[in-house]
Amino acid sequence: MSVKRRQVLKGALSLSALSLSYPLLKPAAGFAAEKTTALVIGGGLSGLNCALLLSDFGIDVILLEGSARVGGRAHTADGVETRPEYGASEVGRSYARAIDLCSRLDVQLLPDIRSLMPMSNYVDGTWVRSGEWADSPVNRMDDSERELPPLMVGMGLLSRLNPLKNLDDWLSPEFAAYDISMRELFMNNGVSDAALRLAGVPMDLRMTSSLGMMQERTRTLFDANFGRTQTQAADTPFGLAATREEGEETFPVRTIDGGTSRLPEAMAAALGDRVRLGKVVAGIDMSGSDAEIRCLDGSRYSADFVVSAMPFTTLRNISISPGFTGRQAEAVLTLGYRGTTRAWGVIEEPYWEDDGLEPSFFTDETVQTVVVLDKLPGEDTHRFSVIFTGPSSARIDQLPDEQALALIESEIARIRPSTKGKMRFVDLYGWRKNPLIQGCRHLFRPSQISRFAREMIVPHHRLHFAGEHTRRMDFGMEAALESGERAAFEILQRA
Amino acid sequence: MKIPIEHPGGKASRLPGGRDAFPPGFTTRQRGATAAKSPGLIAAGALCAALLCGTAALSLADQDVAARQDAAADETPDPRLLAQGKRLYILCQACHATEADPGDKIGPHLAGIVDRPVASAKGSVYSDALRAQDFVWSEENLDLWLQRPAEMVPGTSMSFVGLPGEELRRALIAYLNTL
Repeated sequence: MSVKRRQVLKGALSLSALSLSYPLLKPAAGFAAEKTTALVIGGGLSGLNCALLLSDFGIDVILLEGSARVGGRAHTADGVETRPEYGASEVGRSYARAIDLCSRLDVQLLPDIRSLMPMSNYVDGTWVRSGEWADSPVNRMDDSERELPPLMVGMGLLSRLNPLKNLDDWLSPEFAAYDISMRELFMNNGVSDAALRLAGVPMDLRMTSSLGMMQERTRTLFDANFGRTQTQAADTPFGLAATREEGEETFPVRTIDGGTSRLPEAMAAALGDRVRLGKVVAGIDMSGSDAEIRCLDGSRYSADFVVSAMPFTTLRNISISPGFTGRQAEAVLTLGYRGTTRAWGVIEEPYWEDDGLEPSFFTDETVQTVVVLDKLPGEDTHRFSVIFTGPSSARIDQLPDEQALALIESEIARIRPSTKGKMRFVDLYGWRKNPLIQGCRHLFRPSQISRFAREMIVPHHRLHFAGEHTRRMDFGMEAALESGERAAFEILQRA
Repeated sequence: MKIPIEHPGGKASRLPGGRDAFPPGFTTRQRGATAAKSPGLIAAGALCAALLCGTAALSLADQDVAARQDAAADETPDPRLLAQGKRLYILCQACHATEADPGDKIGPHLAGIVDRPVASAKGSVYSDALRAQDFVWSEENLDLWLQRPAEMVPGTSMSFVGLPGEELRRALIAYLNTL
């Protein structure tokens, strides 16, 4: 161990000749604090938008990003065949900020025309095609529930019980009664045991606030209806409703040309050398006349205002003085996060032609969902993605990546032998394993909205809060951008 | 049947308002400390808190700035009020262009918005709810709208929660009047 530590220190020394002239125990003494008006911590979409808006208004800003790249959960795997999106990919029709930023920064949006192929189900060890699910003996749900495809049971039932109309209703005490676990909500409303079991495959029903998910359904419905004349059914397995109405010219969902990463990269390019990569923040001291920010590498900054544009999972690691108190402390320390893990690949041969089942499939076993995407004109192979969310993601993330990939492949081949040798995997990514993020998204636990959803984003001395978990009205990428805009707005009113 | 967005019949839910809606943690001491640094900060800080919490009423901000405002002449807008309005426009800029060409922005442009008939910008997306209205965007109507759009016209596709504080709205409308 001690040898290793010495090696690490030696490596660090060779990086910076400056630190050679100072005692090892006080590396920070060699750095003068760099001064700025606003210091943004976190180079995801929320932090970048906050920094851009502040600099538009002539405020001096520096943005510190802990990792070696900007974008956070907007991350295109550029080096990988098929260039998968690890995180955000969809730009909804009502994503005003994302659309405006793309326009400003010359980033192109393309219609998302790659459609999901039909999905069979493997439940209780039996294969059932989508069209036969409602009447299948394997489907033990009640009459009012049996039409719901297994993957959609949880969201479908939640949509039926959703009383929210306005995008900010979830913050109103009027709806606090819905801030209970999805399991409790479903049980209170007579949902069958069979439906509870299926709903629990992609979602952790005990740890998820119904109210939080309802906000997302309301926002998704808003997006589906934006600028349209008919109410759309907005229940889709993942993300937004991508149906196009007849005769409609614009597509409801778009993606970013060249990958989602192009947007944060363009934002960072506009900020230039104000963006600093590889800066992991260790502490924020606001006990003096300004905020002093200290990084792990000993670099220091002083600022009038600080923006936490990190997930609370990361903010928890930072020493804050004066410390958070009350409900805000509770929020920072306990806000729930959820993992998503995906594997991607290419279909070498259409295995569904051999077994008569549909290309995509859901299982109630280890492998939660396999989604096969239709070919685009000019492409000769289909692409697939294996998706694990919530509990199934937590389980698969316990394995190292290579072991997880091997297991996913053998599990798929076991339950669907026709796939053997026909699915070629190219990559796997689990957000829980990203040390600076530790989850793909926040997820309010039961009662957390009532306890601290409002309090958690009230500025703490000079520290303001952004990040998707601090959204008020929006969803997805737009939620991150919304939060950055709000934090910039708060600072503009004080600066 | 044209139903852009479901809404309870005329019963828009009002969020809890009033001073008691200040969250714990936003203490008098903090408000005082910020106010001492720069004039007008009481309003700003209170606005932050109210926006963050989704509260609608904001008597504190109203009182503070209303006192200053009494002295200002109505005809020539106070440059400070305009500057404040321009900064408040940060909340509008993603959706609304200030010039007559909306570009790719998803909302209608706001050039000449004051006294423009409702839902009348060419090529813009409006909800059926707004198209069914028949009024002019007078300063009074803008003030009512900006308090909480979904309450003035339930079913609107403008996803803006509202701007609490009469004086803040006055500043924003003063700026809108220059477009």
